[in-house]
Amino acid sequence: MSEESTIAAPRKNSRAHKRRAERQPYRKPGQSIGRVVVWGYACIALAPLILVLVNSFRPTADFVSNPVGFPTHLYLDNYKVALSQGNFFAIISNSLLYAGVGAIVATFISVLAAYALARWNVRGGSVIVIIFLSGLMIPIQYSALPLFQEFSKFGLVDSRIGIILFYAASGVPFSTYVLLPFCRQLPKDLEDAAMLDGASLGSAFFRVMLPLLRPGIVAVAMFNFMPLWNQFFYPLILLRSPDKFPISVGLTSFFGEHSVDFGPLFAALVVSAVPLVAIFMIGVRKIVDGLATGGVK
Amino acid sequence: MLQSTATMHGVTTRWSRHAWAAIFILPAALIYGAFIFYPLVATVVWGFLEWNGTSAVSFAGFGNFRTLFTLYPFNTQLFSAVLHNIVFFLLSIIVQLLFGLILAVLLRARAKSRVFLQAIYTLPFMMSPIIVGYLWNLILNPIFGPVYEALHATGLGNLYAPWLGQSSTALVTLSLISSWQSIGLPMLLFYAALSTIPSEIYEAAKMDGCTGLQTFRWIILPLVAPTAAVLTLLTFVASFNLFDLPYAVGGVNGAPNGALDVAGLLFYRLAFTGTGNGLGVGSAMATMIGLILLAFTTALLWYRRLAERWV
Repeated sequence: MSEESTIAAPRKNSRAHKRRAERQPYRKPGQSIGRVVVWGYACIALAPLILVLVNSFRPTADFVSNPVGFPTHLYLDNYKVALSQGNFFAIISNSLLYAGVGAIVATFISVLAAYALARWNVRGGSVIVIIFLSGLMIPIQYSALPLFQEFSKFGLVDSRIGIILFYAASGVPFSTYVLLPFCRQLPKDLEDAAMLDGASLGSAFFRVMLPLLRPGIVAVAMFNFMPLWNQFFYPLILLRSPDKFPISVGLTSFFGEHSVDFGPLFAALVVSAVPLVAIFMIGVRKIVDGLATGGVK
Repeated sequence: MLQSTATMHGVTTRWSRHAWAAIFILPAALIYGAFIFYPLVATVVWGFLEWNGTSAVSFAGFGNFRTLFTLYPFNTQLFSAVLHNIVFFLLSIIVQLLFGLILAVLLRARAKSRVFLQAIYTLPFMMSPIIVGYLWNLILNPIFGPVYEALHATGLGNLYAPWLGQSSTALVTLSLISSWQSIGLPMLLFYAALSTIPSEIYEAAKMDGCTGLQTFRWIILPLVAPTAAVLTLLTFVASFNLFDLPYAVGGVNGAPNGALDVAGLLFYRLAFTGTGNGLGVGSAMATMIGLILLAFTTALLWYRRLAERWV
């Protein structure tokens, strides 16, 4: 507090006037422009999504004549067509299966590896870490040729197990990247104490250390799930039968077949966006914080 | 007694330490090695082999690379595809850095609505690029697209063009769509970077008579420069990984008229729809893309080290 302000204060006789005088000079104009920009951009971010949602409840003829408008009555035929012809229940459960199991396996094998690499001074461990982390920077789709041949050699093309194994592998670099520092900071004494009580290294990990890692593990699993759910390129080349397609590939074939009947297309977009949007809304705080603090993918 | 337990403990520990390390590391190492690392290494090797169908017949030297750069139509397609990737990258990085930073700075003043706004900005980022591509294709559609209708209704109808459908604007539109989708990430990362210094420093700068521009140059810019570098790197890699979005908008040939043909699509066509020496030429192309990324990463890290001294 400077001398000037203590002298200046008595001159302003009303409290409200003083408060306004403190706030107003430079902040007010800047703030209102700022407010317009942040809310304006919020509209730009949301408007397309809302448009799709609204149009999915209108008959095709209705929005062809009037693209921006509200549904006149509850019209669900678009959803009926999409769900019956697009096989969306099947492809959504496929996506849940591949991305869910893939994310869980990726996280599980990565936490084991990260724990051992972070704490046990494994010989050659730093080389393994570098190889794992190098996967963060490589453009993964360009190594599809040898992968595809490997898959056909082992009979994994068009197999659910194959795609899950690949998903699990592709989650290892990111998971190790996040979990390595997480494992390093765990107290050494706990492991020692468990081992003095006669536990082996393995059971010390599972009984004592794993519960401590739980918050990290949950976050990593969630961040593994999202890109796997959205994965398009690999299911496109590794799967053949439409009943095994995940949502992304299933959506492209639905769009290919229905390119003139627009109503069901809007419904199909809504149906395929809903699961991830729901997850996002449930975990929004965690996801936003996670992205901000370096959970970058 | 105590000592003997201790040595015994030591011996078992050393043995079991190796065993446990193997049990813990092998699952990840095997799966990652088989499905990520082996294909990566093999791709580089395959680019130097001559292929007959799916079997390697001989060493090809740089033959596949020569084919890629000289034989029609690869030569023209490769050049335009990589050029499209670079244009896409430049547009995306400018838009995302600029608007991401503006939004992050403005959000600092929005204590109450901040989390809500951040969630809205980040929402499109969660959606798959396939969905985003189809969504914008429908919205910008000239037959019943709401954008067309809205412009007409406000008397700005002649501003409208089928932006995604004409080759002169398709790529710019695509990169704007992609920026719309991923603006949440730069916004969040910049916001996190800006939050690392306490607001007293801004207040102090203001009291010392810093203008807005000076505050930006000497406080905000040094603070966000490392974040900007990371974002540049991520965007570059993402630009060369681009596949889903142009596939949803223009199909596998990068319609309209090849305007959306990018390296990812060309690689897909070379590798999975082509004939002849597809394995060799495809791998050669993959190796080349890998080299571009490696060069850019190295240059950026080197530049960042330089920049740390100056910014």
